[in-house]
Amino acid sequence: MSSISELMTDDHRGCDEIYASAEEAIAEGKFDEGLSLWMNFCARIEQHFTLEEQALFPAFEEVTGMQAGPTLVMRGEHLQMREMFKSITSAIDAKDTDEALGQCESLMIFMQQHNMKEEQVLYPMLNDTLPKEDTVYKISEALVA
Amino acid sequence: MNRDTPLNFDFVPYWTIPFRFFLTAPLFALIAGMALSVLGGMLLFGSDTALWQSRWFKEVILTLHLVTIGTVTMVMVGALFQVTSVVGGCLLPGGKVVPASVYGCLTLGVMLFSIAMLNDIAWLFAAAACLLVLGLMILAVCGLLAVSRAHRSSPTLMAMRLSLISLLVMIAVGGGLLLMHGYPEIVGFDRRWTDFHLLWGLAGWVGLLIMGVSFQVIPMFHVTPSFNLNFQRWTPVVTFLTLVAASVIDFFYAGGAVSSAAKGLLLACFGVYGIQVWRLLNKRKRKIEDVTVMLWKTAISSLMGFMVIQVVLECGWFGIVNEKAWLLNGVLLVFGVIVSVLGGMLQKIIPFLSYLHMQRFCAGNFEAIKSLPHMRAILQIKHSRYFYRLHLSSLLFLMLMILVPEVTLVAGLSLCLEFSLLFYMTARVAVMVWKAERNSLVVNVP
Repeated sequence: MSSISELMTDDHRGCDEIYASAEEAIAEGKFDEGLSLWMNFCARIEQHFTLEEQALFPAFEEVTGMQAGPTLVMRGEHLQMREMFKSITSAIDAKDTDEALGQCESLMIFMQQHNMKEEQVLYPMLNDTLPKEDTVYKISEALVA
Repeated sequence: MNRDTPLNFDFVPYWTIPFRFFLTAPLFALIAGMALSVLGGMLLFGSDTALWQSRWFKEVILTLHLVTIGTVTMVMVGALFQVTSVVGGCLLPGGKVVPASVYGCLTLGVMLFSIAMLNDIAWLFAAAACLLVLGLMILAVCGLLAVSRAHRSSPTLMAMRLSLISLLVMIAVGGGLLLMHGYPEIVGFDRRWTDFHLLWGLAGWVGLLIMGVSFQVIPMFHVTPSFNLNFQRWTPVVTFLTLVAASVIDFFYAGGAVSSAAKGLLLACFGVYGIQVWRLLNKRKRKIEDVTVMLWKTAISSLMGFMVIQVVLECGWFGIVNEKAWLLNGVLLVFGVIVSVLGGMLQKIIPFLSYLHMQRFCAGNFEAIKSLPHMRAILQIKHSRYFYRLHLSSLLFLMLMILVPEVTLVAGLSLCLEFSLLFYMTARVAVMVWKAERNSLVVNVP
């Protein structure tokens, strides 16, 4: 059975792939296709954030008592990324290639740095603290749905 | 479980720490370019200068070290201060004193080294040796401490540990070599230590650090599949063990078949690594134009060229056993492989760091964050493209220069242009971050 860390990391990679397709379409000036892929990406990553914020982080906070620890930092970064999604959507809507690609690059850097923190620090902590079978089931359900 | 889990900005080094190294690095390459231009000018317009005849000539040792210590090591040290916090969750100990000391020792050390080399001043060799050994020793010890305190183990951290151990070996021998240059009548001069120093510096300190960091940054920046976990675990360790064997065998049995086989194995380790990087880059999901990818591919192509020439040299095929081939290979390895990789990494690290810190200055204010310049406005794509073209031109002219010394002036000018541009690109971003910090201080003053 895959670990919590492996499942969540795989989902990061899945999101990255949709992101890359959207970025490529924008770079080629295919704004309609780019917008559609971009919205797919936003929906997929929102699903990931929701799973973390509503299931994994609260469970971790309850077990460890760490309310103001790493999960607080991650929630803050999720908020920041949601703001970046809005700016990029506006730039794609306005068919502004340079602005959209520049914003995308900023998001990419921010998101990868965020993912790295989760994959290297937080997810291993989730592996150590949360009940494996139950959590893995919850993740599989949430990400399939 | 550690409650000080490092997921926030408190665990990121202050922005001027890596930037001071990144800003200084192009300046030493620029000085190397100027030195080449002067040498090339002298060759074309006057004196009976004989250039690029042997690896033991002053101009080779001087320009090589201006680039390897002044540029390559400078960038790697700056990156190391940053990477340990991201990968290991640990800052190098010593606050602002350690980076300032390392920076001061390195900068002054390279300058004294250059003056000593140009003027043959014995005590300056000793002073340069003391400063360089001290600065890099502080770095290696603090780096090893930070890696040992990391919150978890990873192949990247293992590669960093092995690279820092290699750095210790390299500087011990390098310091000794400087004393040999300054006081040959007292210390003696054994040329075997030069190859030992080269192997530990290039394959160990530089090669292993690049390898370890690439395990993280290639999948992260280019959205490629991850390196195979066993590959990540074993390649740095096998490379390090092969390096130990190759350097010792080459020291005692230089020129023999066993020595060639050991060095061949070491080359094979980097060859397999290069092929793996190329394979992953070809599988990248982000298909948009990316100068860093082009520089990685330039580096791997240069590595393959280096390997072919090295095999020909070791086997003595085609009767090519001369100093020119050795120098040509030096250009391919140092400039084609190492400077290409570091130049590519800077294209990502500089905007990444500046954006990270400018966000920090916004103190969570979303409106302020929205107004920040985006990545392509921080480091302009047109500048990166010019940098790549100039880098290719410098590489070609530097290689040609070894075969046709009359090209030295052009190679030097190309190098000057390339690194003036890199300095401008880095300085422009540093000013941007400095202004963002100053504005945030004004806004946040009650």
